[in-house]
Amino acid sequence: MSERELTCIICPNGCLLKIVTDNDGKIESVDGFKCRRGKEYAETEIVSPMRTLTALVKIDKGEFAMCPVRTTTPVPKDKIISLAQKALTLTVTAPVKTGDVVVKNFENTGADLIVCRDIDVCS
Amino acid sequence: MTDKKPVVVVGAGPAGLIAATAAKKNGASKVILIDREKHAGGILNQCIHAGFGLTQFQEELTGTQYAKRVYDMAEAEGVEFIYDTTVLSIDENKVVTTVNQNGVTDIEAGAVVLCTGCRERSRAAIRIPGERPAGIYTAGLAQKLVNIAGMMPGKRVVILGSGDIGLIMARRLTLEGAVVCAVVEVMSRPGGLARNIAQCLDDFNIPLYLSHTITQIKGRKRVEGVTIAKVDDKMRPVSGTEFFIDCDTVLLSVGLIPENEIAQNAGVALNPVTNGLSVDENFMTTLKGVFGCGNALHVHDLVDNLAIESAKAGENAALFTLNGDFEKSEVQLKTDAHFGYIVPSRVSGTKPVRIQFRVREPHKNAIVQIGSFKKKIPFLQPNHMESVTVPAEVFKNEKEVTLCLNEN
Repeated sequence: MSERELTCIICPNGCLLKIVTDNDGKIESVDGFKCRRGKEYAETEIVSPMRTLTALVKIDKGEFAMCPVRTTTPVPKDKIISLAQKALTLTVTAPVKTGDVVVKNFENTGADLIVCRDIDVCS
Repeated sequence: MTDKKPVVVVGAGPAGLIAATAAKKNGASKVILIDREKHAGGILNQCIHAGFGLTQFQEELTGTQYAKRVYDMAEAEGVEFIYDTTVLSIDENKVVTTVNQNGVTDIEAGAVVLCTGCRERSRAAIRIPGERPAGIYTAGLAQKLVNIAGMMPGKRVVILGSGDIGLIMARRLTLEGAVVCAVVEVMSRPGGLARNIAQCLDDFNIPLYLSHTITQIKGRKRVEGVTIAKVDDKMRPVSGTEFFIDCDTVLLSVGLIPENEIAQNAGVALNPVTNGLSVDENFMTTLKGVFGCGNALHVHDLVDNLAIESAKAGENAALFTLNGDFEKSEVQLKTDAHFGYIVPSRVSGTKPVRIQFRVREPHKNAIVQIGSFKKKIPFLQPNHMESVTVPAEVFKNEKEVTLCLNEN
């Protein structure tokens, strides 16, 4: 049996969660959360930590050089740097609108990569 | 009696967008929103990370997504936008002097809302010894370079300051391919939110050196490294604790200062501790009909709280143009030594007031008390702006009321 402390990252409260797992790594108890999402976060974090990725892709003909993007759902934490680096190799073309899909099922994560800012053509 | 003069909002960041929307919604005949950039959004345009609007929209948006939401609301409400235009000054008659490519224009305002945001504290202001090599940036500037211009400031980075901007940039630089060697914090506690320590430092095994500071930056043409030392409880470097970190870039995340040149030049009172605007319970400054909100008033941690304040300021600006002045706010609000500051600075005692404040040290289960009103707050931290709504009776017939804290 072991105890682990971690900070929930779901909302700015940043509740300190105390998670007790048995010898097989299964969760016995979670304490310290102020809401249901905190409990769910703890359960996922122990088994398979996920993170929302926010990243940058290049944009051609746009008012700026880079277009901010995000994943629509969380992706595996251990892949996050390589996913961000992969995003940097992608290019979209202006104009783009918030919500435009850059890549569906980005790198097989199940999450889409979407545009997060309206960017017009450079005048 | 309707004043046909417009409500003029200075700055189209989140505070200005939300204040302008609220002003139009609450009866202002015309609302003009002025920004020196070519787009609305303010600092949110370079905030590509998520964490915005959790309370307000029940969604975790990126800064740019949140900016679009509040921009769309302002546009739908009929706010008029003037871009690429700088406000030079306002005078006591609320004439707003602006300049752009077409020259100088004066706008006679019925009310003004100052939403001018803040600036970053610089290396010069904190005096780090060393020459002036390339590779030293404030964290916000580095953020703009990376997120808008697609330029990396360097390859090996040391960040001074563990406030949220420094932490966010530690993650951003790592994701974009740099090595972040360390975050150095002079205080014994991190400056930013616990969740940011977790998702920006712990996630990437970036070391955090608390009670340390950079005592020297090495390098002539380009940063070659930094000397870091432990500090004592008076924040003085402790001799013999120095160590060197090889790096080519230093990011400074050492504080935000409200930008209030316009207010200062107009003779509007500022809070001498924060350099933020000094306002009453209606968010009105010492200049009648001139209001203030957002980071120009006090630096916020969460845009959701800024939204509440800015909506009120905008609403009141509209009401001022329709109904004239409010009840006089002559009751002064003060704090004891537990607090850094309180907003507003003065109230009328005729209506409840949502006060906002920050403590200097963390406290668990402390009781904050103002006049006869008490509230127990489980966790108080310096990096968490707190708010409490206080009933009018607390202030009635008083000259001065002090916010106190009682440990439990």
